[in-house]
Amino acid sequence: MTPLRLRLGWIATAAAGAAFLSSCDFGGVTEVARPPVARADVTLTFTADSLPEAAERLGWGSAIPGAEVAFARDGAGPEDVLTATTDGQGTVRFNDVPVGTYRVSLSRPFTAEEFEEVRESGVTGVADAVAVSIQGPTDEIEIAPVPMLQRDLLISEYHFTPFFRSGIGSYQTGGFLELYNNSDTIIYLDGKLVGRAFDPVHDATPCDWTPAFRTDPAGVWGLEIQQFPGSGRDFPLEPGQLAVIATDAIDHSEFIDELLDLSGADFEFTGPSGPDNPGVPNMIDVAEFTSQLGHGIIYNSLTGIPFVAEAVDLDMVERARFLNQSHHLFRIPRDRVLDVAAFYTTFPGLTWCFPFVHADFNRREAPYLPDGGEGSWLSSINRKVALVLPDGRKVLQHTRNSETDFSVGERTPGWIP
Amino acid sequence: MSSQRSTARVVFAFVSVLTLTGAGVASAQDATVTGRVLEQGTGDPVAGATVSVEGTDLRVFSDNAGTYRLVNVPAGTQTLQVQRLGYAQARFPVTVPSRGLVELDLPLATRALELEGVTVTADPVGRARGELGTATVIGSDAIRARTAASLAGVLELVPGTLLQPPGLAGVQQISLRAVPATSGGPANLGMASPADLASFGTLIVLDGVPVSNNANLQTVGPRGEFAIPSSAGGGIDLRRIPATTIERVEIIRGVPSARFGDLTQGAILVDTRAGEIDPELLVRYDPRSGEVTLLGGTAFGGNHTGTLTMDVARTRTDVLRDDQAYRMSGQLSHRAVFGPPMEGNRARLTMDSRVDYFRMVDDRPEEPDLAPGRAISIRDQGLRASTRTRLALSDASTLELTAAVDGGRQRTFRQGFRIRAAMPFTDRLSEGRSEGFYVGGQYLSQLWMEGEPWQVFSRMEGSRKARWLSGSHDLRAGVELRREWNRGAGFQFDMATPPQSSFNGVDGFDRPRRFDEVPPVATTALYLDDRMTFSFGHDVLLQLQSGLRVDLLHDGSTWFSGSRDVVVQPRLQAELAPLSWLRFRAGAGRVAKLPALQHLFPAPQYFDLVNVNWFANDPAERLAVLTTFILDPSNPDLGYSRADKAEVGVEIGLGRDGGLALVAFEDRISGGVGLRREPLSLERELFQLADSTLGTGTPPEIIEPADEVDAVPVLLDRPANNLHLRTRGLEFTAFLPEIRPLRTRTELQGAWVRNRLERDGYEFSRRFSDFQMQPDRPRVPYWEGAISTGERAILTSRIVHHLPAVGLVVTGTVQHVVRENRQDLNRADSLSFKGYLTRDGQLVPVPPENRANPEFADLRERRVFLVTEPQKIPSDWLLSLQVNKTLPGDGTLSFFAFNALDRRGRFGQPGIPPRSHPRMQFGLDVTMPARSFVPWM
Repeated sequence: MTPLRLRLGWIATAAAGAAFLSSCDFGGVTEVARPPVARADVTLTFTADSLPEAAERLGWGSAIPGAEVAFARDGAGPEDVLTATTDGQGTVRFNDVPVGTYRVSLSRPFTAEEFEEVRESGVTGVADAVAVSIQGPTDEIEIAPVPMLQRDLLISEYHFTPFFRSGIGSYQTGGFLELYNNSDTIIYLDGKLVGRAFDPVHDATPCDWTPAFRTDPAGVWGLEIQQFPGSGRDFPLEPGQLAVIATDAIDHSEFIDELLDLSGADFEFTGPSGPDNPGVPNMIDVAEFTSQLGHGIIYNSLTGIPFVAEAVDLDMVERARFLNQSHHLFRIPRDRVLDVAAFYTTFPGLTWCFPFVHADFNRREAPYLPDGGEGSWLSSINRKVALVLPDGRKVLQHTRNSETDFSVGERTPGWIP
Repeated sequence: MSSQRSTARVVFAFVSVLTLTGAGVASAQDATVTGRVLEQGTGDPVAGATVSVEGTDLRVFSDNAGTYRLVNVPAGTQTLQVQRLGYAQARFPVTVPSRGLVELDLPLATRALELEGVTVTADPVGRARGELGTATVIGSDAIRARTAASLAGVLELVPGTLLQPPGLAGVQQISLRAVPATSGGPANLGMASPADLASFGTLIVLDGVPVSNNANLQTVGPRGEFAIPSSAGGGIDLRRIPATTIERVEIIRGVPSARFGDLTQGAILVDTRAGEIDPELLVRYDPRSGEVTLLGGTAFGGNHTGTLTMDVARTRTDVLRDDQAYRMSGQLSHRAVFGPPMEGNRARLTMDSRVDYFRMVDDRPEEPDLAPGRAISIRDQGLRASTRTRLALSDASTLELTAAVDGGRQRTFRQGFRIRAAMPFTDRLSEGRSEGFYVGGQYLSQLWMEGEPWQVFSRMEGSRKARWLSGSHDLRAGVELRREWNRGAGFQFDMATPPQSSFNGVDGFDRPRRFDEVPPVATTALYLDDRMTFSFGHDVLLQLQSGLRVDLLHDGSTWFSGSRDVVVQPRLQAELAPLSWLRFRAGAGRVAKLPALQHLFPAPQYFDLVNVNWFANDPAERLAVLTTFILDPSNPDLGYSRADKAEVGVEIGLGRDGGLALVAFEDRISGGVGLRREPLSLERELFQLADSTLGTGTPPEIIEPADEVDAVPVLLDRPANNLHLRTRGLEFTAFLPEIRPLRTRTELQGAWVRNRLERDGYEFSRRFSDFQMQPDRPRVPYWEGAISTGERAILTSRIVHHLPAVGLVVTGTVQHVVRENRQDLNRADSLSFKGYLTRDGQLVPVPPENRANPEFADLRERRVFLVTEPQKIPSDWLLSLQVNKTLPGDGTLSFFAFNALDRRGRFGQPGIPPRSHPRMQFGLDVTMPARSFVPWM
């Protein structure tokens, strides 16, 4: 033990000394002592193991060529992100980088031509983000990124950050959820479910109370659930078409200038109070919990776990109460879940219990703007576009990872930016 | 309950035995106290000094040789008080035997601080005049030696009171024998805490006339969303009484005599400075506060004395903002004495008249950078005229008439931005259905509350000294008439921009309300009181005070109206002094407090139910139809809160100036006024619509009659005598004799108080609003009212170092909160519900053995907001310093440092509430006789 302790002591002393020296201004001296930080040469190889058939049809072999790779040390700012494009062997190199933990992000959507080639596979490309530990002096790491799946009905936009004035109050009912038909066939919304999953994930509830609802591979536990009206074929959604579901489907800019006109929304979450737009069909409340204001579903402004599911009879599914609360939570079975997204704010001082849902539904939550930050209600969370087909139709990215699939952007109800 | 009874039983047994044994002994022979009043230092006689016996009417003047002679002085430990213009007032304890002569010379100094034995803390074994109950008496020296901006600062000398920095920040109230209240906030919102009940039940008597807060309506009510600082619902705001103008404060912590009513807790008797006073200027400064007081009094026309006091004070209440509070107050007092003096130098006719004025302002101007829109302005002022006429009918009989008129003018303004969701809305002021409109977004709301509380008080009291049944008796009988009302324009706002912004489609917004529509409240009280003194042998002395008081609340606005509630209140106190240095004391009795006007005549409650909600994109096509229900929450059965009080104590003399006092007490308030939530059901009509095609440019029409009617449950907040507070405690004060070589004495004061508050009534699920709005939810659980307990023990040690030769007093105060706990005693598990509420407003109890049955699974809900595990706040302490020093020219300089070590307290942790101490503050006072810098005075 003694030698190790000595060694650690020496390192600490040296590091401190180096830090001191590096912080001094020696005037004309150009050679200054550099801290003895270990460095590494890194080779990253991206394999096509997760989409062998498509890779073979596209002639990629076992590697992923032409993928944009971002390589950033933990805590690095945007200006310190290194980027490169994979070569024909799916490889990129980053030389002489400090050792440490890095995040590697990769995105390689298919081109429209490539997609035509492999269309029946339902894969639209690959994308992923993983953390790797670089120890030096040479690191060779192989990564098999997750395929992007076309899927059917996707959550394409989520906007629920309330208009907020410190010390005054908030306007919480101006939000909307947008769904997109990412498939190649008509989807009928009739009877499908839209919900808010159980989300007591901030400091108020100890994390070890909630894993039964957060990490259940058998399904997603819904707190507020509303169902599309219709008798089967009343509400078709063409490929590439969107449906906007507003909490209150009204022109909110009538009341607060900066808010959206949602009077043209396709559906309105139902609630016993709040304005009811007779021109917009109401969703049907099928669960037991109702948001406090009674305007319909309002996602928690600190976390959001929206989901879409096929029609399910809630009387037939597992139900449970959390801490004997008066309402039940309903488990939407995994084979009925169409899409789940998970978001959390980066509001300072709050800690979260991850994951929000089992990794089979979402592998990593997407951070979004601090709640209540000036103007944060002007932003929205949008699903990224994977590729654009020759007819102009956009295919959205879906890798079961909200962090990589979504980005913070403009509010665009009814269209894909 | 049982211990309360047993305590009372012990007290009555004690008193009965003593009364019976006392009946056969020799009659009391009061003694004579005589001596000379001399100037300290020179030994010159002081002529014309007033020498009086505290707690009695005995009063004489010293002659040219300085000699005084007081006859018929009651036996026991008495205090002589000496006053003479140009000298500091002095007090001298004296032990008076049952007969014989006591000689005592009384030295006077020009400045109190140069006087041996000056008392700068409260007198622990003092008695309020004419009272036998446990009391704390704070004399003028102690008041002068404190840096206090108001009466609240003076009352910190009462055991169990938390130290606060001097200043005018925040509403200041006092709760005797309870966890002190610092604001009336919770009471405004209908959740009265033990401290609120105690503060509301503490009677303040200013110069012999009660000061009432009963007609104060400056509150936003139970649904209010704007927080407004107000003393409404609690005791008066003590900031209106400047400490610098107070002569003496008597705090009756125990059972007051039958003379005092409208209280549940205790009585605080405040006398302001009046009489011949050398003009005096006091200037105080600390970084947050400043104060200037000017006072003086003079004799004129032979029989008259006039006194004028004026005070201006200001505090910056928030150092980061421009918030400030200031006070202006003044008093003009006049005393006229007529007729030849009678025995004991009592005048034939004495008239004391006072006119008081105060103006208290809290200003929190808008600061656009910090909080746009937010502004609060509170302007309270009051003018009171009172007169007390005392007519000596004979040497033994006196008639006293008191009359007072007290008028206030309260102006509260609060504005702030609110944000509301888009919603259907109605501004209808009457019951019925009408078309509403849609509102939403951010708006500036402004609220005005204009109150003008008035009180007329009159009392006629006859008193007579007599001797029978082997004892001397001081008999008093009186009648009190009182009327209180409010003439203000009331609670006013523009209905388009209400101070509330949350509306779930069921509970409505409050509407404006005029206070002058609230009827006046008239009360009558009668009382009879006898203070008896018996002596046994040479030293053993027994004093009893027994009385009966009847308070009557009229059901109309005059004293000729019938009776709404009557409370008969027997009271009894006893004190036995078997030895000159030992006193045993006991007391028991019932007291009662009138409900406040806001509870006797609560504001109507509005419920707006949405019948049609048609928010078309074209504003011309929109239709909102709402039905307004107005429910009257007043409670014809609401009456007095009653409290049964009992206490036992012992007082032990320790040498010349030491003493020890210990008292155990139990107070039981039954029927304290709170808000009881009553479930009701309203019928909502749902309509079919005609002409409902969109794009026509006209709204649809409803088709009468209603297609469907559903039941909407609501909760009405009805004032009720539903709070039951039991308080037990121990108080002790120990004055240790002065350590002469160090010129230092120590005082220890402790108070341990435990409260238990029960609320009759039911509590409903916090998801009640979901239940209201969702017709498919058939029921919700309800629980029994909460039982909350709280406990606190405070130990205050004062070390007083006094050097009379240089007129220096240094007081170090360490206050140690030794113990502080709270806990709710109800169960909170999911089977703790009592039953369920149906949509039609019925409460259906579920027997405990059935609550686990599957059919009640939907009712199993954890009860929230209860502290089921004991919550202990770790003990903590702080130190404050006070230095007083005489100045050349008969002035005094004082320095104070509150929280001198700047202790900050602790942050909260899970399960452990935080404790935060006010930050360190320090400052200076200078008092100067005006003649020292104004030559002609």
